[in-house]
Amino acid sequence: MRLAVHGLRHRFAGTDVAAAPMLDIAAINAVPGEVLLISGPSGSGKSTLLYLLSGLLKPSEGEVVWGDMDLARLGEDARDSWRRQNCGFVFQNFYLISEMTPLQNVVLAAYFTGWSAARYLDRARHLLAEFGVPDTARHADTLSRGEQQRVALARALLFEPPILFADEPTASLDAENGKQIAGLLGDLARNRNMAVIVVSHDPDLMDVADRVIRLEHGRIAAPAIGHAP
Amino acid sequence: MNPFPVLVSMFHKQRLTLLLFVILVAFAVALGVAVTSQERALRQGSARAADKFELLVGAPGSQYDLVLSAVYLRLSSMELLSPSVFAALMAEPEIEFAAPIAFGDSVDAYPVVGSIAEFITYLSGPLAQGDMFARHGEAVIGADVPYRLGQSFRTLHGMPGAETEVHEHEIAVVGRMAQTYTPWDRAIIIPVEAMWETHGLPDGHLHDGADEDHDDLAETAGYDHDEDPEDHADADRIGPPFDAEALPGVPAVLVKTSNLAAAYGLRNKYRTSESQAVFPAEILVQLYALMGDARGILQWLALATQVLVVVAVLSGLVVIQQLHTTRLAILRALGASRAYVFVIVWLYFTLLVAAGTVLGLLLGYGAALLVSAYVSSLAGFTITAILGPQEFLLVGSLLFVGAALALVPAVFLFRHSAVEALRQS
Repeated sequence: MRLAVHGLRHRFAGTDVAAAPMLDIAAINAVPGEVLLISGPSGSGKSTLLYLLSGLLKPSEGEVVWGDMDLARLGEDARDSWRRQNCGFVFQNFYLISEMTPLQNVVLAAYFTGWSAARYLDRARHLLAEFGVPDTARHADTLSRGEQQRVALARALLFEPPILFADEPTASLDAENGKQIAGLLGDLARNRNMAVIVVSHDPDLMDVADRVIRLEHGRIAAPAIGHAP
Repeated sequence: MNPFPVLVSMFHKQRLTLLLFVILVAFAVALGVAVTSQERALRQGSARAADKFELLVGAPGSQYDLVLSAVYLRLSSMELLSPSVFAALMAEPEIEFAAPIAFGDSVDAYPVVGSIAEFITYLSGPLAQGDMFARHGEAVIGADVPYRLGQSFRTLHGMPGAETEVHEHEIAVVGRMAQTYTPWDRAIIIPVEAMWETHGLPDGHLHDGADEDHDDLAETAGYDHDEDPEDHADADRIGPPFDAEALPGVPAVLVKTSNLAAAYGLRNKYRTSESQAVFPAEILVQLYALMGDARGILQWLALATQVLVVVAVLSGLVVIQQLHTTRLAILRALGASRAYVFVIVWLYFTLLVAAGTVLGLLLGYGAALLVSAYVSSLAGFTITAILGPQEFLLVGSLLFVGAALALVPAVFLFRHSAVEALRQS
């Protein structure tokens, strides 16, 4: 299943509908097994596009299609539910809950719908071990930045989502950790057959990306580099 | 859904600030709880202390002084009821007894009161220890007087704290009353004849053994005067019937009637230029009415204080909550529903207000107990503060207000755009 965009236009709330949209994307496809990198200068609309693709924002016009479902036609609660089942998120600043342990952070999303996270604990431990993060009783903010981003990755993968969104995932890391995270994102796409959609300027991520879209002023400035299936 | 793991982390993050807020709410609630429960305890305690004092008759003067002196033993100098009125009272057909209450002496700050055995039995029921006094030199003590049976003492002339001289007669403790939870638990009761005699007054009995008036009075009062003629000549004789010619004045007389109608009748009859007759309960109602106005103001002030504190605390929490806006937006990005965020924010505020109110309830109750103990020691009657519906209503109202106010930030964050928060982070 692929995540596809058709005729996507978006204006901020309160903007005149006759005005040019701040984001105007004719088509994008994100397919399983690939890393799609969205790059561009600040203010070009990269993060807005990410929020539209993940259903956090509803587009003013156009479609965001997952299988036969158009996210643009879903209400907010339905999009929340879709995101919970199908998406993982990684952020520049990790956004772990600092007063929780790494394990508690990884199973956090289990509490959104259930009372207990017990049945996810084994998987969470396995993910932490896979990404080389100690299963410690210490709070998450005591970990190194690289470890914190790997905890965030483990958190994103708890429900084995088919799509992973990463917003500047290496921007807060040193070069070595940035390279590690970039490598992990590439591995996730290929080994787990995930559609990995990354917003970044990082050349390391350019190296692992299967396709790169460059945005300028809310439009695709250059044709996608790489092969679009 | 389970909001508590996230809530716990949020509480942990600002624990010291939140603790301060909880304490602020707790103090505001404690103030209200302590005021209302203490005021009620004072009313109940004072009413219980006056329960057995049906009708008091004294010389004309302040009704309050009469009640405070005779019921609460807050003794003050009072005019004496004339012997003729006392004698007339005892001759009333519908009374069960008329007990003189003669005070003015003390021992070790315990008031010494002269009265009759019927009065003691009426107050205490069966004695807790020992026997009833049977002659001048004997006393029955209240439950809280720390004397032993058989212990002797000499009374001091004057009220506690204003004693002037030691009386020469020695008095021995022969009995102890059961606990009454009234100021009389701290009283030392001696035969009224002993009190009169100590002060150089006639002791209420003619000792020549031939007074016709005395016989008439005794018969009218229902005492079987002729059964024990030897007592008549006994200088140590105590208790009714008294001889009208040998009666001195008394500060107060407690009248126990056979029925309520009789009590009302006597009250009206003895409201004259020579005497006043009062129902202590009626005087208390007047006092409570005065207190009630102040209580109403205090309660409103307490409630207003609590609401203001809760509003102030919630305002502070809204500022704190803004620190969590990004965290809540991240939860949305990770798939949490708006309802989940709503529940977290609402519980965050409501649980803090609830913690403050519950802590305040306990603190207020503790404070009320301490104040009760202190006021009991001052007032001489037992005041027991307990939490009642009023306090629970107060706390419940505050919780309701807090929970309702908590909806404001919850709805705000429910409607707040997660993307907006993520952009600002």
